[in-house]
Amino acid sequence: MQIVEIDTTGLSHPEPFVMAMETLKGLKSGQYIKMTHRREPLKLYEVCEKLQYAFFVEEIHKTLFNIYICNNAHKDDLRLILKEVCLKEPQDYSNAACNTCQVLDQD
Amino acid sequence: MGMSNISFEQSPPYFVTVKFFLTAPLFLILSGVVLIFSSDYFGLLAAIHSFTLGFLTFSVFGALWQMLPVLAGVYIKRSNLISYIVYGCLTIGVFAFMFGFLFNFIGLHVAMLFLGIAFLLFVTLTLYKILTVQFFTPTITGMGLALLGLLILFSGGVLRVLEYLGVHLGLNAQVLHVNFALFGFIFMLIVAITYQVLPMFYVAKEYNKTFQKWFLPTVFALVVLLQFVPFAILGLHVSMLIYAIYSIKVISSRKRKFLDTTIRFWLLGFYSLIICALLGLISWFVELPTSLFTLIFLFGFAGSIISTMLYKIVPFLSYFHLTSTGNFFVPSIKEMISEKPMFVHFVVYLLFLVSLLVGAFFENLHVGGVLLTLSGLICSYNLLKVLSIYNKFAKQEVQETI
Repeated sequence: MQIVEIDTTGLSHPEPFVMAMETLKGLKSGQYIKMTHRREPLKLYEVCEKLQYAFFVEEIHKTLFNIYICNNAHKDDLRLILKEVCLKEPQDYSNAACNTCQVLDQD
Repeated sequence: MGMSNISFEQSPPYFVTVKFFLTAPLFLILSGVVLIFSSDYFGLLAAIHSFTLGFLTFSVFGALWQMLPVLAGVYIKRSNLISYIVYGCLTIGVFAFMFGFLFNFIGLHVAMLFLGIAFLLFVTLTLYKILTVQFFTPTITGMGLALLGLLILFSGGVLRVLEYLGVHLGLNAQVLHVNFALFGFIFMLIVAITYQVLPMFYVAKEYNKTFQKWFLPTVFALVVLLQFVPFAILGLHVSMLIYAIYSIKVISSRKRKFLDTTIRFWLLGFYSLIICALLGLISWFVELPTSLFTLIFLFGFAGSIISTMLYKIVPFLSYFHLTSTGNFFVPSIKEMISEKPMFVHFVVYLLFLVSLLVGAFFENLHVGGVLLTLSGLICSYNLLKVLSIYNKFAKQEVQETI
């Protein structure tokens, strides 16, 4: 899979969200987004969940997050890639049907 | 992970909150019109309450409805129905209140009933939800205390109305009402929200954790103390000064040193608060017009910050709700609302504040009324333009789906 990286750590609200949406707009099959952000973009998660994009979150520390987003069809491919590239085990926040809250509570 | 208490799909529907934001500046216009045509004590009261109950409360209720799911992970069920009840009661209540002050005190009876329903419904529901939060942050604690302050200020207001109607219970209702309105609700709530949004909006330094933890509980304790010890007002003036100076420092620490209108409004609000605090301190030694402090606090501090919040929230909400349906080909936020019309609003609002400052000394607020009306009109136009763009693209999306 091909990576599309966006760094929004220095951008003020709402530019990170807008930048993510612009990148999603141009996302091609086989590509995934790696978004680096200083906080958890809750509104973006909401959109991803609504539009059924798969998304994983890697918390580097309290003010640095990597968010990985891809088309749901490529979710398993992305999961394999992340296992190799991520410093920490990324959390799978996507798939509303599995009830995100419960999954995280069990962790 | 700090996300375990949050479900992502929690944003209330678009019109649940947007109707509050779009209605708010209409009360700015009404407040200005009252200042133009009525110059007596009750005219001033009507104008102030159009601003506080209308512009401020509508904006604050909309903002809380929008922010609580994100900040606290709480969501008000049946938000559509409840929002219309609160919105309707608040609207009738404010108009009845204005009628009561301007024409016939009977309007105050009606106002108390409808405002009571709106406040009790919204505040009890929100406070109940806040109490279920697993992790209390200083922002959530501050919001909870501010809502408690709103209930107390409303009780003080009811007592004050009873006094107008000839029923005296021997309590100093006006002091209770005014203190909790200015400090216990407006100041507390704005401080609580700035903890969260100022660093987030502008990539600025976070407020000191110890400051965040203790500042608002201290302010609330001072407001309560003020009912028994008038000297406690000094502590509140000093608190205002500390918060304003600290906030200017926080906003100055932003990574990108651009200066747009939203930042100008924040700074205007903070500098107004400094002026207010200094006026409060000076008034111990020099006699100043009694309304000066209240006017600068409300219109200068609170009005500026509410204006900047409206300009931040409404375009973003519109963009968010459009794109979250998968419609990526929508105008950008800057196309929805550009810098120039916001700046025009800022300039007119600044002129209004100057005229208010001068007018308070000469007991003539007519010019201020004209400028406030104009300011409300510009703000309404700017926000309605965003709504028209939203409507256009929301319909387009539906048509394409069909």
